[in-house]
Amino acid sequence: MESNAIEIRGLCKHYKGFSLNDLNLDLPYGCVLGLVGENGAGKSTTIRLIMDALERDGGTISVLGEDNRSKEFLDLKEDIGVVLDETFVPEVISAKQLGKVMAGTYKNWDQSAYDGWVKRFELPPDKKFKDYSRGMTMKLGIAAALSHHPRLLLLDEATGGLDPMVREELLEVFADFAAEDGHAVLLSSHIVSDLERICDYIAFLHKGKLVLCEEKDVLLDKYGILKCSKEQLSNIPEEAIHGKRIGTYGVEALVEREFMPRDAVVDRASLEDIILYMVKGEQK
Amino acid sequence: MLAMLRKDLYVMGKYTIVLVITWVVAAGVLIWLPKTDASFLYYLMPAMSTTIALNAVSADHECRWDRFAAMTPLRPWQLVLEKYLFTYGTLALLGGLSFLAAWAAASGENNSSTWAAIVLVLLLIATSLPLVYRFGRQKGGMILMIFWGLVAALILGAAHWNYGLIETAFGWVEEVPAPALAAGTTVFLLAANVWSFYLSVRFYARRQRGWYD
Repeated sequence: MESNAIEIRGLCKHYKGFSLNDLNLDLPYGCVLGLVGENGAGKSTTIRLIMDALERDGGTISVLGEDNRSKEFLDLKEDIGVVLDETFVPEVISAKQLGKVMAGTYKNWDQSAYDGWVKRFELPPDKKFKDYSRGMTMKLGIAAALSHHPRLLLLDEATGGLDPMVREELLEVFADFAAEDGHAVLLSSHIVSDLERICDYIAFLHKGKLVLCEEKDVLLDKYGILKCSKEQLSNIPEEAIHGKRIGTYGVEALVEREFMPRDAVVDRASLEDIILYMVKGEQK
Repeated sequence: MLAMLRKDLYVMGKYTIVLVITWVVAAGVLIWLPKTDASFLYYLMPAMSTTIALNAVSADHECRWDRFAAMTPLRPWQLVLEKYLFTYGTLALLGGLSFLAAWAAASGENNSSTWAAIVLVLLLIATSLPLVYRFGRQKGGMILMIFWGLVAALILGAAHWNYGLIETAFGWVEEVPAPALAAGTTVFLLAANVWSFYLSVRFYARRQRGWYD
């Protein structure tokens, strides 16, 4: 079996006022890849392109070992569970009815698994979708995505707008899914703390460009926060500094530990710090 | 594909039932009232199937079902074929009711009215669905109205100014034996709907892949 569930090379997509440029991304099996970026960074576009649900302007995408433009890929969609950031269920349909519709959509549909998820998520089976809360909506989408036994989960802002309890519960579900043999998860979000908790890899998209794509632990080891005066910062090599915040009493900077003097005290940077400094670093 | 039919039944079922009940009540009252011409109802009912079909397409678009469907193993032709089958099914149901009403009113000549309405509706389906898949519900609907408005204006205008022209254009129909006319109409409608389906699949696939975004 190939080692990556998703391989993206040189992916480009141009819209009026937006361009996704030369995106290269790998998602190894057994891993959770967090796709982070501000609204409009290109996360949803990337997911649609992965599913070949959008015409691309360049590059190649391989999903579960298959070129996503091949005829075989259409059948391979059986093995991919997708949760979109927007509702897709007609508002008069209930969870029970959605199960019946999905049963005819996916050959691998497992009604008992679906019923199990609906029960676990405490979703009222006969309540119309229009009366669902945002949390219930996402849970229903996830229940549907998991019930045809996918090998790959693509989750577009699946935890956005949910309360911490629900997010916690769903993150656990995703982590358990990824832990199973031959599975992988791509989770797009702008809630960095969620990604930090469950992701093995982090890809940061900013204005359609991939700013970084690294193993999360490597990323957290690589960067740190330096708190010092302006004079002290001027002694730090330029290549070590990836962003800085100048305050009244001193400077906080995101630095690359590798280039730092041995005696420098560098605090741990959270993923959110790294991303925020990198974005602001561009504006310094 | 059957799954999508089921979905449309869930979505449009209530609307269709309300429509049918309203129509049955209206038809019943008009048939019961003496000296009332209820024949317009026999045209109206089959025509409603086009509205139901267009509303079903519109409902899919509103809840972003199309975007979700692009993530599933369903092929564009399956999704479009379902909509055609749903529309034909609705037409069969509503057309059947019209025949039933005409029979209940014991006005034999109204049967031909219902047949004429069904032929027109099949033409309407063949023109409306590709337009809606290409331009969306509102713009497509508007183009459809303009197109059929122009056709009607042409025919009525010609009839008003020079009836002979209409007789030349359509007079031959009366001379064709009924079975041959029925067979010819069937072949024509079949060809129109097959062509319409082909166009719809093409437009749907392109829309799904963001060509018209």
